[in-house]
Amino acid sequence: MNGAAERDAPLLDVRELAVTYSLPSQSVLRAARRFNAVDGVNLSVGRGESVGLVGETGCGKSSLSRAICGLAPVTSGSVRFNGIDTGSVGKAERRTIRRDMQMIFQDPGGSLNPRMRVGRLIAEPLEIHGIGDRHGRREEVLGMLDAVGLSADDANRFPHEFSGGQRQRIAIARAVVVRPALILADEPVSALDVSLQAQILNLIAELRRRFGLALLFVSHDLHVVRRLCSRVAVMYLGQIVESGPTDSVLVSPRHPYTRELVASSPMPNPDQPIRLVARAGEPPNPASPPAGCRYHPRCPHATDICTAEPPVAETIAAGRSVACHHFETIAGQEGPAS
Amino acid sequence: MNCLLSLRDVSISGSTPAGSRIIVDRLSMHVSEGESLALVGESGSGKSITALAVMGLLPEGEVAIRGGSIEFAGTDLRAVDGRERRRITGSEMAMIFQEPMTSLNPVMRVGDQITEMILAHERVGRRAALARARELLASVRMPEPELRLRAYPHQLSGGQRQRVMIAIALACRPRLLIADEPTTALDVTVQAHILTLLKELQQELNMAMLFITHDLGVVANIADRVSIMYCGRISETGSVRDIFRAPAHPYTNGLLACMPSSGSGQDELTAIPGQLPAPSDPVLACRFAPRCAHADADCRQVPPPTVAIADGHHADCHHVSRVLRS
Repeated sequence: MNGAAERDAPLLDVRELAVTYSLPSQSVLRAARRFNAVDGVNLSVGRGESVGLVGETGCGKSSLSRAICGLAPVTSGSVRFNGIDTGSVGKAERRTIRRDMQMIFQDPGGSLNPRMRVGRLIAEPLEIHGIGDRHGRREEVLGMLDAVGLSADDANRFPHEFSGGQRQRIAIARAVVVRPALILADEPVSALDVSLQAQILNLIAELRRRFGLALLFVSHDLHVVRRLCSRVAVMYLGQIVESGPTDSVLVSPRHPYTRELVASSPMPNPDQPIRLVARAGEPPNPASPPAGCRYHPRCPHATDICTAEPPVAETIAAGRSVACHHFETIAGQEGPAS
Repeated sequence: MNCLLSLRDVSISGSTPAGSRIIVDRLSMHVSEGESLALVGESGSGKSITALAVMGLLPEGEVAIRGGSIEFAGTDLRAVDGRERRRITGSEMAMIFQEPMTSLNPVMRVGDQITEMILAHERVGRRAALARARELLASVRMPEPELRLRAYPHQLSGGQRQRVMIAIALACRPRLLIADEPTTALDVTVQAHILTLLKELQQELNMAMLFITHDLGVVANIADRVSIMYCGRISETGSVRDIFRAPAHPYTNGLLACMPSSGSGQDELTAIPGQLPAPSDPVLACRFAPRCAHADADCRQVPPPTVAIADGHHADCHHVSRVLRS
């Protein structure tokens, strides 16, 4: 646990990660079919950095975040956290990693024990990791309730007595109370009403600043990611197609899929209508991805090479990379409205 | 433009274990022929219940219209008998829902589900109806419509299922299409295609549309006019430009300001404080008062007046002039 290399390494470093699932076999005589929900993904999150992971249904973004924290099986590749390969650690180290890497899910109701009072729910992670004594934990819980905008009285209530937005506050308190280094948030505001989304996003941003947390924020919403994350990675069918500083990627996207996402995201402004820049169609079944570039069936720029060869991610500027055979010619065209 | 659908002082109440509760409170609105009105609100605002009331689909015994009038093309919908109601529903007005899978019959081929609608309302033969179904699928830009006629819903993608729903709804060329969050369950790239399709069809068929949504981004793309609902009341109505350029109600203002897309960079979002009121909370004269920066004692006791700001733009608020200045 020492040396300059250790400190310079990113907090989270995912290399060539693959997550494979088996589909139920169609017949007892045939082997189960397998497919890669995540296929050769590279991703890093620096200390205190916030990174957005954007993509549509079935692109593998949730599988990726679950694999990072050990909730989905890693088939190949590696997840390094704090410089340690999480695939080859002992029990004690795994415990530390679990403390330092916390998750927030979309449905807070599903991750809170309905029979536990809120105070107990927030104290539980402290007990599990043996942090503080009884008195200290109680102080910590009260401080955490205040930090997430709940009152001390709320400690004695049950989760069902709260609205969805408040339950998400409880889930956030549970994650932050052990002072993790990294929060993995999987669509934490998607189930909330518009007027509550902003509150929770502000809360996550505030806690991040206050406790110096790094954040990997998984979302389908470009606008949310733009407000919360300094870097973004765009996923399509198990692969990252483009990544870089959020403003630069979303203002001048280079991958045709990122361009489609940006052009399709509705803006609350009648003068900036959505535009159709790709063929209608949904991502194909991840169990049988198209050959070559996986986006080619929908891509307006696709040529022969796209159907034959998978593109390799190329660095196009500092911290920006894109995996597309034609990114150079596409760049010359008119960019989508931001 | 002629008024096609008009609701006046409609109140709807629902029965709960704790007794009867007002879900929609003296709601008035209208949809003109060929126009698209967006009804915007968060959960519990009563927007879907309003749509179901227009369609005559309120769950019987649980939710009931308590007062007011609903008129469609000069017909009082609260007075029509079951036969006339069935004639209007489906042929004159049709509805599409958020989750197409729960509206489609999983064991019936797509073609049969479309012809079912045509045969129920028109005197045509099966062959003619099937030919129409094929045309309808083509008109909703379904790839390979001929083939899809024989498909079952589970063989289609989410976007394709919504296209089938639209084809069924449009089968008898309704004058009004009610769309209740039709793209909420879809990915943004698919949503973009469905919204564009709805807009094109609406113009081609000169059909009116009542579009229910919580997403102001979608509203900006689909609506001619907008009504904003909060807790069973319409708080503001205006043209899409009025609503986005000069919101006059603090709630509209708050909704626009708290959208993540409303600014850029990583500055803080302007959130609306507080929460949506629970059903058990006391009903204040202005329901938005507890969350409103402009609220004073009046707002809690005196029902807010309907203030006209411009032609067709009005808001129910004591402090419209203050909101417009801010």
